[in-house]
Amino acid sequence: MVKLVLLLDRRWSGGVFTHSIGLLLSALALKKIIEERYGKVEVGLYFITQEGDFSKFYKGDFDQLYEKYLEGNIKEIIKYVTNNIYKKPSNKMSLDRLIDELSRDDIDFKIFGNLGSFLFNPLGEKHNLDKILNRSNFVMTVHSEFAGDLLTDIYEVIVLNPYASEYVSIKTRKKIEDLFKRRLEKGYTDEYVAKEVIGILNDLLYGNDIDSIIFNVKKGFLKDEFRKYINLMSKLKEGYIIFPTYILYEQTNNLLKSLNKYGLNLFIKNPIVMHEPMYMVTLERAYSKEVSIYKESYKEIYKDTDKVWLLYSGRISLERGSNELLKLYEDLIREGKKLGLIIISDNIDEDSEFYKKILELADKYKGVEVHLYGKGFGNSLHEYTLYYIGLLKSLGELKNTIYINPTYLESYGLATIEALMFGELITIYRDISGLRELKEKGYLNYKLSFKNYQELKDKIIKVIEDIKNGKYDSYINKDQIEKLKKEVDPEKIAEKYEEIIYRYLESRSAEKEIIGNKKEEVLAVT
Amino acid sequence: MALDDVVKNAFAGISTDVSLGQQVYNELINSISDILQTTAKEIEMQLDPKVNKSLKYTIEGFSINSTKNNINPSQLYGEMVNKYKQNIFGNSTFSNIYLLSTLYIRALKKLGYPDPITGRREIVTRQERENAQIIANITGELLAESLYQYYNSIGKNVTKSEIMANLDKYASALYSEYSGVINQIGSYIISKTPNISLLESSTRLMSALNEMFLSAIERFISTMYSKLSIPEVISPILNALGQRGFYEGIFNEIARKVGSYISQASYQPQQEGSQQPTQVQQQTLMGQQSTPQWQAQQVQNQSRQPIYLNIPQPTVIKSSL
Repeated sequence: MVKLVLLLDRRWSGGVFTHSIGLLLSALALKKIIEERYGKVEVGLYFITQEGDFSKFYKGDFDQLYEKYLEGNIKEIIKYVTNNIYKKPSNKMSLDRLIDELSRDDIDFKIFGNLGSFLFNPLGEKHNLDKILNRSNFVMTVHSEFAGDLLTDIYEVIVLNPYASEYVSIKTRKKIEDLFKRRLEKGYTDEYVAKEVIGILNDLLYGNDIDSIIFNVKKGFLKDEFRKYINLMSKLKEGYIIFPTYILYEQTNNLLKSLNKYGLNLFIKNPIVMHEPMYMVTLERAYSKEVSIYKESYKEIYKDTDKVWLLYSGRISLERGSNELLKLYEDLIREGKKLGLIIISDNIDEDSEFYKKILELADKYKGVEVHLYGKGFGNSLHEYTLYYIGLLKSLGELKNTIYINPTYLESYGLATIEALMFGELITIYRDISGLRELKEKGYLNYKLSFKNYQELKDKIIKVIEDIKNGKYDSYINKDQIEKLKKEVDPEKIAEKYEEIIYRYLESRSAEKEIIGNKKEEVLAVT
Repeated sequence: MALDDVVKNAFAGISTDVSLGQQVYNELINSISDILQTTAKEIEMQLDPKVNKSLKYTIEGFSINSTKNNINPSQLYGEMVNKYKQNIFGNSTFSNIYLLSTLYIRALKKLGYPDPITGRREIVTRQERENAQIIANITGELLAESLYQYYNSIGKNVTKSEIMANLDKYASALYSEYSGVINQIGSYIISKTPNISLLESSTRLMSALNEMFLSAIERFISTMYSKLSIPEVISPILNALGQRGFYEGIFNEIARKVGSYISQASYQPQQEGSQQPTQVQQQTLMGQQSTPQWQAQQVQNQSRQPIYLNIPQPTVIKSSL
């Protein structure tokens, strides 16, 4: 009997949220694989959620989900997580009980869906980490880049906050602004930025000047979280740490190097770079007929082939480059291009500035047609993901859409991968961290990356012309897309988890054997 | 997802809210959750056009009028549902307040007060009046609390008793959001087509949907009261349900069900005329005939799921030039 535990972090929106569903599907597939090959598996499932200001903990019913998995009822499994069905009073557990259950000696291997699970709650306290991560029998996934997140926090408090700007020294503000700018220009956090961020943070958290006082009033909690983060980093010498991209691994390493300058000895012993499991792949496979009906319905809306559509999916914000997207659309419409714009975003509504700007464009120019999908308009495509897959597939089949990702910061590029896999859409993207890596691996077309606005505009104009001349397919590499689909398939990723677990279990039994032999030798000598 | 699922899921969420107190969880939540799931099933039956003839004719009228105007009925229905949701649920701060105000005013009307907009009075049965009294008590309490919290959050100094004293006036002002949404949908239809029959059948359909939604919520409140006749306890439960998107979930399910009947209605003429299977049937049949066992299991699962063609429609902004 193999005993596993799985801890899923449901406190964050975006990638971590989506990853938890994919990882759950991988864990279900993992149980199937191990049971077919080796024997019985028991999996303890746990969730962290946010209720008010506090993290709360729940135990899930893995066996019930496994039955549904064997029946092929993927929708029910997803609903169990997204509709918070696990949140029953009888499933609720105290922090102490969770720690006890995660620390049990009879657990063979532990899977933590998010390295950040140990932050913003007491799990990251040293005594708790020592109990939970007491051996190297665990795997954790890193999603975000901590130095970059810290820089954003510092930038918000010191540079953007008008109150702080009256008191904080010009020197500190300038330094933070320069670092922020450098990070945006480079598209990732390099070693220099990581080192400087740690230096500034150290001064701000532990200094006595006005800068530090302001920072501690606004972000004082970071002192605790920073301490927990270092506790956690000291555990990376054991266990297996998964990064979705090499660049994220490199950035985490840069941060550790910067911290080591303060007398620490932090390093990652077993880094693994592999894609994140994407639940939409399993969903599409299980409900392909239903998707195909939605696809046909969306084709009815977008079959006007005279027009080329630009598609953007994600948050509307400055760092996501959405303002440049609108500027691009305005410039192209002004130049008389026949273009439509589709925006899929759950963070805009009729009161948002972005929406008002679109109305202004429609007033100002001929030929504007913008389609909006999102919670704020009552037509979110993410509430029932099959609709979203249907739309992507319809646009792909009509061969009249360009997916644009103008973001300045992207550790992985989930939405881009979705557009590529389900829609096989021509994808134009900024040449930054996570996306650059997808380019280097050959998933994104190398001709379609851009570094600045002019390059984006020139490339879009060329692609529009090529689409009109029937050259849509010349931008699509179907073999690579198929390969990517396999790499993010939760069932394929389950195979990789199985390898990691058995690598660990084998090393442990080899270790036991060596210890056993040594004991025998000692006995023989005495 | 069925209506009873919406109830079940929403309750799974509130059953963990410590602010309600452990005693409330154990003694009330489970029993109320069960009885509401039963109510949800009953309401769902009323959404079936085979049972509800009035809904059947409303749907048929809408489908025929849309098709005559070369407008895809499912698409138009999706657009109208978007408009409705945008107005009613789009404002996260106010959506629960709009709903409570509307429920409160509907109850007051049944108790003999005139409609704040039309001035009309309703004639109702004794039973309806008794139910209305319960709903007015519960929603009134909750509305006053919600408004009090809202004004506090924006730094306006007002006591709960002051709000209570003028609650009908606050509610009358906020009631217009629900009463006005059908007119907005009407003006949207008129912007698309000059056809008055389509305008009438569209607004009739959306009024029916609005009515089904509001009566479903009223019925849930009455059912809760029948189980536990203490408005002070029902109010926080309703409040907690509202914060977890319960009302929108109920609306989505009702809208989705009606949408599926519209899709069926618009496919029927083809099926009857040519004796050909519909698109949905064709795909299910193909799946069952040609797939291996493992996939066939999945196809069976798919065919058990209701297939809805009322996909979310885009909110469109176009140049008027």
